[in-house]
Amino acid sequence: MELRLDRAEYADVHVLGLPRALHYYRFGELWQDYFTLLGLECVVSEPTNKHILSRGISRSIDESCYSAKIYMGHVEALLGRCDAVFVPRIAGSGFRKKYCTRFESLYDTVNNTFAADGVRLVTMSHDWNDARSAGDAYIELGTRFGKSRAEAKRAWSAACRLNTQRHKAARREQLALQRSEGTKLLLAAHPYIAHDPYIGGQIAEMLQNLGCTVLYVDRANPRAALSRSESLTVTMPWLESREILGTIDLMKKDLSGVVLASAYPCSSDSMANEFILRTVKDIPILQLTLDVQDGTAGLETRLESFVDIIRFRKEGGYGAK
Amino acid sequence: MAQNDGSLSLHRVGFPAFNNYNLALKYFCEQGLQTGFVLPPAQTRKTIHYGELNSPDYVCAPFKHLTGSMIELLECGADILVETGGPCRLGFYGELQDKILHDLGYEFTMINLDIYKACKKREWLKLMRFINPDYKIPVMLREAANAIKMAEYLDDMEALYHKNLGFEVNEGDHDRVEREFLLDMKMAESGADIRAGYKKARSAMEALPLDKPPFPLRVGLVGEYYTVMDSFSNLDLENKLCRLGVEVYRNMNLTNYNLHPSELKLRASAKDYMRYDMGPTSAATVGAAVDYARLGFDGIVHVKSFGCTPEVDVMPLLQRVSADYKIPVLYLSYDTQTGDAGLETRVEAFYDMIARKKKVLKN
Repeated sequence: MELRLDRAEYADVHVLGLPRALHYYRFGELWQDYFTLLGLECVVSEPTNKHILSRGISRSIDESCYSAKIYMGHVEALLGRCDAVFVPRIAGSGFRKKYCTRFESLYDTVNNTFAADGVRLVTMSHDWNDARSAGDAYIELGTRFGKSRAEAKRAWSAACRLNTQRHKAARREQLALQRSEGTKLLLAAHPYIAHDPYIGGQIAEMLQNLGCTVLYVDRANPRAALSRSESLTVTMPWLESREILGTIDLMKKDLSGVVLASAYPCSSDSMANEFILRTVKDIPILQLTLDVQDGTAGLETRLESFVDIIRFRKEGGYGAK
Repeated sequence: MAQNDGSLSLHRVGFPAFNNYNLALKYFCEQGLQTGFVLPPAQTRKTIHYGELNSPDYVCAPFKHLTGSMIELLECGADILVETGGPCRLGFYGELQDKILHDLGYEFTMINLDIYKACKKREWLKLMRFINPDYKIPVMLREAANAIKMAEYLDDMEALYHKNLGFEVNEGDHDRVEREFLLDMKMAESGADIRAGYKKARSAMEALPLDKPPFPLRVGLVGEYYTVMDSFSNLDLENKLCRLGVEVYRNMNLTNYNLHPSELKLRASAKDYMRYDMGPTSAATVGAAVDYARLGFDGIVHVKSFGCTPEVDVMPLLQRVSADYKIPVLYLSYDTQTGDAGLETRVEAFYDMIARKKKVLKN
């Protein structure tokens, strides 16, 4: 239920801040294109670093998940650098294609956490059971910046076109990698884990140093993955978990192994990972749970031994068929 | 037992333990569907042990409790288990539990109500036909209404119990009446039995002698659906508070959340703090907290299982409610621990603090 809003309440916002966390890794480029085409200037917070993380931790409830803590740090990093921060509420895109409930509450949590700082937020809401499409929600947001409907619509469809092109290019690139020789590992994680340089970036780097090729879920074929997941599970409520499950199942012929990385205590992964481990049996899976910690030696050891096992198995070692 | 007119189903249905509501479900299954029903054994350390042994590591505590309870039900001979499904992680409980329990080697049928969420009424009737092919729709509907009535009575009695327990003159009075009431509900075979049992218990409990000051301390409980309602999961938190001499109120129960949803009203109370729907029970938690604060309660206790995403996300809101209305909030987070000494200390400290605050403000 949304309160009635002023028609052009954001007309005086010229510089918009985008926190580089959570949905940014799914929609960030799309947002940037859209807002730029609307004539706004976008400021994106710098990639996650130690300072952002520690600020985020001090702003969060302890039990909040790793990724949400990082998000708070990014919001804080944008304070004073823009007219308003963009914190949308994008809860899902369809029945049993939801995001975690944290995305439902993101706006209100941020708003209350930063209430004393007087931060201005730009927001929009799109729920999984909304009658209007996500595109309509974005276009309506455009009109609240004082643009006409037609202008917003033009900007939105142009941004969408650019986004589709980018996705296609990324998919082609990954397909080539997928067909190459060598040890190919799928970094199966939410985009905000896999592509955050502070979390997934580190893992990918370690794997590449070990001579592996790293593939990503969102650069595969999310639509095909989604329909594959329908045959594996009925009630799994989360879109991103379905994409991970479907992608693993679709790509397992081409893969040497899967690194299943999740942030502690991720609500959807806590159950989805268990389901994946019990459903997909014929491929080695390493389950990594990541939390706020500085040392990476433990992580490195685990990745190294995983890669060792995979290679040993290929040469006819343990459990090879 | 159900009157057997030759249409008795041979199935034995089991619902995992959830407060006392299993009694209402028992009534519905036995009288409405004329099928066998297995009441879950009282939860013990063993229940939790079974549950955490077979559950993922950092899933929320209700999953572990329900899985443990399901294993106990299967050991007691249930051959159909029912899982409800819901708006958060709860929606995936049934399917994962089904997998886990079948992987353990149990043979049973899981009825996952989450699958039926988007289905038509016809599918529901088919489901009941599966449990008992000979059930009669009019009987089922009548007994469903009675079972709902029973759930409301259970909530009503529980509310009265927690309001007065801390002030009883003769120790054990309230427990005795509540126990008799639960026994009556367990033995009830008709709507008349339920109503008579409730009337008897209600007037008996109202007649108990009390030693209550004119303005007793009042504490409101808010929080996550399962943990706040299930006294085993929250280590008997309500009774612990009551016994210190506090009136304990809890808006979150089956009646207020499911049977007569008061969500809109609560969302109106919470509107200063939340703009959007934040998740399953978020509006209920914040709305009830604001209501308690406006009514001049002495404290609020926020109860949740560890890592419950929607409830963690409302904590910044509760912190603001606490600051705005100058009302203390105690945040409790539960996992599968069984020791309650730590909890006891925290509850006592909280009580001392609100009691002193009240005394200072009065003078």
